[in-house]
Amino acid sequence: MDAVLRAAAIYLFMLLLFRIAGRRTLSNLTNFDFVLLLVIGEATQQALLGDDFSVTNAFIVIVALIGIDIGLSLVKERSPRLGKVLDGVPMVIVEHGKPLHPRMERARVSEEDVLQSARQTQGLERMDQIKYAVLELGGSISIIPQDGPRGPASESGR
Amino acid sequence: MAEHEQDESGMWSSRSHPVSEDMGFQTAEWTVERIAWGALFGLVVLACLGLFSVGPLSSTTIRDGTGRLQAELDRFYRNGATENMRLRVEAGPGDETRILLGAAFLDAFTVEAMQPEPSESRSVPGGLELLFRRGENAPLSVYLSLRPDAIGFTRSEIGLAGGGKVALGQFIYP
Repeated sequence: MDAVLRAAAIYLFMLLLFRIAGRRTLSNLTNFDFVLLLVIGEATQQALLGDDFSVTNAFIVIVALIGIDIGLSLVKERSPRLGKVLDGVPMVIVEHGKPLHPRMERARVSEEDVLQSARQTQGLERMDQIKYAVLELGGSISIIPQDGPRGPASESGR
Repeated sequence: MAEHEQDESGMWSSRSHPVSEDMGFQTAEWTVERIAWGALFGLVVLACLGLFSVGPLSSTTIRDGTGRLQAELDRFYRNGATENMRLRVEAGPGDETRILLGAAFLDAFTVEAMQPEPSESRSVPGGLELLFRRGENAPLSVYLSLRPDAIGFTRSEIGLAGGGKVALGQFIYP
C-alpha cells in the first residue's frame, strides 16, 4: 500500500507542477531541458522507492504509475471538462500570416519559435506563408501553410 | 488602423477554425498559472527560511522549568531523514547525569547515534534512562542523531532524573 501511495503522491505532484509550469516550459527540449528532466527523475526516484530496493517494490510502483495514467485517461474521455483542466486547450497564435501578439506573449511563445517550427515542419521562410499556427496541448506549435503561392494578397480581402 | 482595432477586439474571442478554442478557459488558466508561479516562489523562499526543516523558522531551543536541561532542535523534521538534536545539561553536583528519554520519544524517533555514548542505559517505567559520566561540576552536552519514524505533529518528552523535563512538540513531514 505504501508503494502505491508514494506513486500516487508523486504522480499528482508532478501533474500539478508541470501544469503550473505551463506547456511551453519543457516543450522544446534543448540539451539543458533534457538534463533538467534527468535530474528531476533522479530526485524523484528516492521518494518513489523509499528504502525498499526490491524488484517487487519497483514493479508495484511502475504498475501503480501506469495504472493511474490509464485511469486518468479513461476519466478524461468521459469528462471533457476534466480533460480541459488537465491538458488545457489548443490556441491559434498566427492567423492568416498575422501573429496574434497578445496571445503569444501570455503563452510565452515568440515569433521566432513560430518561424522555427514553420521551417522545421513545413520548410516555410516567412510569417506570411503561414495560414495558421496553433499552440497545441503538448506545447508544440503546428503550422498550416497558406494555399497557393502568396496567400496574404488573396486572404486580406476576406 | 481600423483593421488593427478590429484585430484587438477579436483577439480574445474563441475561434472554431482550425481548432476549437476556449479562450475564457485559457485566460483563466493563465491567471491561475501566474498565481501558482507566485506560490512556487514563495515556497522556495519558505524552504530557504526553514519551513521544511533546517533554517531560522525551524531551529529552536527548549528549556525545562529549572533551566538545567536544554534541548536544541528543529521544529520541523522529515520522516526518514537524519536529523540532529543537542541536549545540554548545566553543571551540577556529582559526576554523573541521568537523562530520561520518554516512551513517546522512542516511538517517534530511532536514535541512530549518540555522542558521547551513555555508560549505562536501562529501561524504566515511562522510557529509557541513560547514565552519562562527566567531570565533577562540569556541564554535559549530548549530540543525538535521529531518524523520525512518525508522521505529523509529534509530542515527546526528555527529562532529567530528579529534575525537570522538556516537552518537545515537532512536526514531521512525510
